[in-house]
Amino acid sequence: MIGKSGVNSILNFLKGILMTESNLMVISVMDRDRSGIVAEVTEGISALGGNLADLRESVLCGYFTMILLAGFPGNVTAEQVEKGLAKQTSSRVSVEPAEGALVEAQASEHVYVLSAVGRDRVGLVAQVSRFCCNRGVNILDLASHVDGDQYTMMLQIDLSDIQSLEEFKSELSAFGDASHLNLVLQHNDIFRATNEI
Amino acid sequence: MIRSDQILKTVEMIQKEHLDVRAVTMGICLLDCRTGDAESTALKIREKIRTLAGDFVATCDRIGGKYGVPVVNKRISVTPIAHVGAGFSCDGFIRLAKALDEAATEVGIDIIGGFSANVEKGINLGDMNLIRAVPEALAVTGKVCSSINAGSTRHGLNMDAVALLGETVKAAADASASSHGFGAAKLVVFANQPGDNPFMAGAIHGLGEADAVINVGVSGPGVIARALERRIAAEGAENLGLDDLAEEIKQATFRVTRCGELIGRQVAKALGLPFGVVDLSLAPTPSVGDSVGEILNILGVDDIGAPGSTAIVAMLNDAVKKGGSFASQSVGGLSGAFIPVMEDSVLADAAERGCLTLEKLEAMTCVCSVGLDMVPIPGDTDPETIAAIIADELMIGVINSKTTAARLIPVPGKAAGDFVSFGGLFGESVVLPIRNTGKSSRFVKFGGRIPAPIHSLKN
Repeated sequence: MIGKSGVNSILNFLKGILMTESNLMVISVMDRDRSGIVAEVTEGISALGGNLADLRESVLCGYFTMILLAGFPGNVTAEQVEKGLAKQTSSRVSVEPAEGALVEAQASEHVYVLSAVGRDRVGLVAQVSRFCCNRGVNILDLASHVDGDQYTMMLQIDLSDIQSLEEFKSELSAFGDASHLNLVLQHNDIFRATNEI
Repeated sequence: MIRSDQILKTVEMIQKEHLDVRAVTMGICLLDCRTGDAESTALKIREKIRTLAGDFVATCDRIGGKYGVPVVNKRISVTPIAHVGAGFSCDGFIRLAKALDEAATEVGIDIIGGFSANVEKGINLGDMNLIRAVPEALAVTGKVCSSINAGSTRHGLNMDAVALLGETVKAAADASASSHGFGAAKLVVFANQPGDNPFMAGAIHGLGEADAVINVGVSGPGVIARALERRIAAEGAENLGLDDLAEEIKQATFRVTRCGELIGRQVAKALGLPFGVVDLSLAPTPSVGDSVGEILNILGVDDIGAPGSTAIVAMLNDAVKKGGSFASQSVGGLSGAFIPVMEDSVLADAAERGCLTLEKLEAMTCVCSVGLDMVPIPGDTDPETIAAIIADELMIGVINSKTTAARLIPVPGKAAGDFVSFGGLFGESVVLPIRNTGKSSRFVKFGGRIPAPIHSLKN
C-alpha cells in the first residue's frame, strides 16, 4: 500500500511532467503599488493561453513585486509573453523560461529557522547570508523588520549539506558573539507544530 | 514561511522560558517474561528491557538536540509486576524489583515504574505477596516505583486493600528510615489508575497496551506562568478578566503540547515503536519558576490555600485540557495539574507558613489531578489514619469518575513542622500536621468495600 507521502510524490512527479509539456515560464513584475496590477498581468497571461501554476506577491514601502509561474502552449516563447504582457500593463515585467526543479523544495527534515536579532547597522544581512553561503547553506526564505534601532531577521535555511549540526551550531554561536547578534537556530518543524493548526 | 512574530514568540518560549519535554516514558509489556521461577524471570526482564530500551536515552537526547527542546526525564514503565510474578513468594517479587532496578541502571534511566498491582475489587495471592514485598523492595532498590490501584468508579473502593496499604505506606517509610522514609515517596495508591501515564511514581504499562509504546509528558508549569505574566504586563491586570487569562493558558498549552507530541512521535519513529499518548499534566519541579503554586499567585491569591485557590486550580486544569486536547492527536495519562507539595517550592513555602493545609489540598484535588501528592506527614501517624486519608482521597476519584491518588510520606522521627528534604526532583518541605489523628480506626477496621457509585442523579 502506498502511504500519503508516496501518493504526494507521485502527484508531484505527474504535475512536473504536465508542466514541462506546457512550457513553463517565470514572470516577475515590479511597480509602484496601485490597484489593477494583478488583474492586468493575469489577464495578459490568460490571453496568451497561459495557465497560472503559482504566484507570490509582496508590497514593501509602497512598492509592489510579484513572481508568477505559468504554463503556456508549446509554441509560445518568452519574448512573445513579454511583448504580450507589455500591451496589457505599464508595470515592468520580465519573463524567463523555467528550468530545473519544477516543484518547490519540500520542507525537509533539514530545514531550520535562524532568527537573528541585533542593533541595526549596515551589512547585517550581508554578514549573515555570507556566513550561510560559506558553509553551503541555502536560504529558502528571508524576512526582516526594524523596530526602533533593533533589526530582526528570520531566515529559513536548508542544512542538507551540513555534515555536523553540532559543529554548525558552535560556529554560529561564535559568529553571533563576534557580530553582536543574538542568533537562534531551531528546527522548522517546531515552528510549524506550535503555530499551525 | 511562518510570520516573524510567531517565530519570535516560539523562540522566546524555548530560550527564555525553558520549554522542554518533561518526560518521555517507554511502556514495556513484560508478560512474556514469565517463567516458572523468579530468577529466570528476572533475567528475561533485564534482557527484554535492555533489548527494547538500549538506545532509548541516546535517542531522546539526539532528537531533543536536533529540535533544541530537551527531554528532561527518560523513564520506563512496565506491566504491573503482580501479573508477571503471580505465584512467586515475597522474596520472588523482591528479586523482580531488583531486576527492574538493574535494568534501569543498564539502560541509563533514573526511574522505572510498575512494581504494581490492581486490587480495586479483590486481592489475589500474587497481589498480596507483591504488596507485602513493597516496603523492602523500595528500600533495597533506588529506581523502582510502586503503585497500587485500590478503587475505581466501576467497582468502588476496596477498603480491605486500603487498610493494608495504610500499613504498607507506614512500613515503606520505616524500612527506609535512614533516608527519611524515602521509600514511601516511591509508592502511590490510586483510584482509576490509567495504564498510559508517563509520570512517576504512578506510571505503569497497562494490560490493554501494545508490546511497547512511547508516551510523553509535556513541559512544566513555568511556561504557562511566564505566558500569563507577559499577558498581564502587556495589557494590565485591570484590563483582563479571568476568561482572558484562561484563553492565554489555552494558547500556551497548545504550543507546549504540540512540541511535546512532535518530540514524542520522533522518538517513537526512531525507535520503531508506536506512539501512545501526550499527557497534558503540568508537573512542577522544585526549581524556582517551575511551580503550579506560582500560577495560583499570578491568578490572584496571595498565598496558596487561601479561599479562591480551588476555583483557580479548576480553571487552570480545564484550560490546560482544552488547549492540549485541541493540539494533540492522542491525549491520555493523567492530564491535569499536579500539586505535589514537596516537589513544588511555592506549595512547600505555603505549607511552611501554615497557609496550605491537608484539608485544602484535598479540596483542590477534587478539581485537578492527581491527588495528595508528595505530602510529608508526622512519622508517628498510625496506619489507620493513613488508610483513612487514602480512603478520603480515593473516593473523590471514585465518585467523580477521575483519577485520584495519595503519596503520603510518614517521615520517621519527624513531627509536624519539622523539615524534610529528599533532594533533586523529589524536593523538600515541612511535615504537614494531621488534625484528628487516631479517630478513624473503627471506620478502617470495618473493611469490605465501599460500593461503586450510582451513575445517574448527579449532584
